[in-house]
Amino acid sequence: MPSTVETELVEIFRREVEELSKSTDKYVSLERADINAILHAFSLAIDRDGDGVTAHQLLDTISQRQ
Amino acid sequence: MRLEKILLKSFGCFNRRNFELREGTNLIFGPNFSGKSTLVNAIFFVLAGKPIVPRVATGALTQAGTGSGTAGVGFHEQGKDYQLFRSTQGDVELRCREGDSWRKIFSGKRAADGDLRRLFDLTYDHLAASTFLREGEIFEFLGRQPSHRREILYVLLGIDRLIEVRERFLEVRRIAKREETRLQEHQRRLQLATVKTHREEIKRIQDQVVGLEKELELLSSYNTASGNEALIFELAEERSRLETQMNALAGERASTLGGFNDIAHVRQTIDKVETAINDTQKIEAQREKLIQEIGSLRNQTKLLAETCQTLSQLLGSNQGHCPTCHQPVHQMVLRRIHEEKQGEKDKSEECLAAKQKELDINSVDLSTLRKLNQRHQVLQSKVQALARIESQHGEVQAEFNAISAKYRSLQTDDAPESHTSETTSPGYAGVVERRRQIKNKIDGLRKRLVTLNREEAIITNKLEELECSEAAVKNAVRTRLNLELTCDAIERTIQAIQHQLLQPAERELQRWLKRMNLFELGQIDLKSQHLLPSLRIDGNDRSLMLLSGSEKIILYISLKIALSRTLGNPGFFVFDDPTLHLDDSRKRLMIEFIRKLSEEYQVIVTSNDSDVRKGLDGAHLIETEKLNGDILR
Repeated sequence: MPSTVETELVEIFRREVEELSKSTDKYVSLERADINAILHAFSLAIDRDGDGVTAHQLLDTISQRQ
Repeated sequence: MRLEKILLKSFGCFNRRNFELREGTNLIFGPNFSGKSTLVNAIFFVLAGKPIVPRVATGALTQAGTGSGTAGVGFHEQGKDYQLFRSTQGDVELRCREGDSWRKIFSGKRAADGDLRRLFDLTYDHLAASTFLREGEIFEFLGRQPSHRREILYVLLGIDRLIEVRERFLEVRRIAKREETRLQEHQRRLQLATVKTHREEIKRIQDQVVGLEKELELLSSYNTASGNEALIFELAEERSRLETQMNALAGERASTLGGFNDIAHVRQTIDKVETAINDTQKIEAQREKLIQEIGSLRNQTKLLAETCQTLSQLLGSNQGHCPTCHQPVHQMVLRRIHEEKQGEKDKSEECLAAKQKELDINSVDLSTLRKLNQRHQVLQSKVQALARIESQHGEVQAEFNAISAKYRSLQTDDAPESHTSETTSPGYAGVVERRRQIKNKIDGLRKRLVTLNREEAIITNKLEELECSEAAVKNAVRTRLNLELTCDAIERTIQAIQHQLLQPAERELQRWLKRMNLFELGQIDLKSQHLLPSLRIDGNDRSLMLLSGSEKIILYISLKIALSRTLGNPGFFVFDDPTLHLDDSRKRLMIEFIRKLSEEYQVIVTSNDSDVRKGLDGAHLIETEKLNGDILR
């Protein structure tokens, strides 16, 4: 995926995450660190094609265990 | 990109043939089996690398009887002329004109399609979706499952990678959910295990022990305050204890003595038994002697009996001579000898019987000796036990006497008036009893405390584990929430991208339909049915499925043009027989549509319809013909 498209995709995703985290009750309790972890995990998944990233790597990233 | 030439060698029905193309409309006109679709196929094959018809092998494009075919396309792009050739065996070559000659840019099999994508943004999916219309394509499209259309849409929009990412996160969310459930179950187990703690009971018992210890301390101070009274009581207690001990020893002594009066009596009996044993031991020697004598007598009697028997035989046979020495013997002499021997034999037998009787008596005495020995041992043990008892009793008695003396002395000194008798103060006895009770109770409580503390330690461990588990569950819940947010956000991102990319296509489609005076009042929606245009006319949804055949074709071609706006277009459209199945009025509509399209794009159309030829009058005409039952080569 070309890097500009990728950047645009991550930007759209970031907007959606921000909006959902503010507008949805169940996500209101999440902190900035959680949002950053989500964005990091998404970028990681988009950045590494196919099997480049495992489910457990994503799980670790999203639960901020790294 | 503007196509300028089609170059064929051993391709489809063509041996070696070049076709010129121009700007605007190009009409490839000819009867059936004249190679019109082959030209469309050739352009698509060269640019996309695959036959335009899905699931057809590349080798099938080769002219019959030849091993390999090649198609080429000449085109103009950004001020430069290019020639792109592709063989059915996969070789690709791109040339660029420089002056009067052609310079090779690349050739070979590897990475050709990647290079083409990079240089001219040419991909199979985009060309198939937004540039080419092959015969019968619309009906295949309508026959596709929504899920398949959705896949095509995602590929076209370039969000197929995002879909993969979404699937991966859904998988991660499932893992996180499982982990959360596992941790919650573990937490529940720990909660159950720690629901009953012993803390309160331990605290209560500890308080109880402290209270009892204080009471004990108070009682001890009472002991100190009461002077000799405590000592008198303790001496009395000790005396009582010694008395009990002496009584026990007396009982034991009486039991040990059995029928004897005292230890001296037992010893006298032992002396008698020992004397008896000594006497009996003599019998042992006599017995040995008797046995020897009896043996000798038996031999003797036996010999005499044999002699008597021999003599009897001699007397009975009247032979008159000795059977041993064979000397003559008189009967009288023989009779007398026989009588003498018989007499000796009788005496020997009598003696033997007497000795035997004596031996029997002796044996009885021997049995008595064993009994005497046993008796002696028993009596010896008895004496030893009695001596021990006497000794202990003496010691206890001495101690008792000493304590009694001290006790009496203290009684006289301390409270001659109140303690004239040998009884202790009932008040102090109560204190001592109470102390004993308290000590016992404290011991019991301490034992209980040990058990409870042991159990509490296990519970405390589990509580610590529960604390960790609660933190883990909290983290798992937060992780799951993060993942739910991720999945939701990815879903919304997909929707947003679809909206962002398809909205211009919808507007473009609307514009073209308006130009064609079709569905002017309808609102086009490409998202709800995954690329299948959905029309909202007078408040009612009408999908492409419900339109008439001609409407479907025009709308579908319009869709391609609209998608080309979103996906990008190389600058031309290729429609293989677009007026197929259209009536005259719709045919005119389609011709008009192509004319308008050719104002903006290069359009290549195939047809065998003379109305189309007339309608597209002025278009660049490429005619293909059959000759003598065979196609033009």
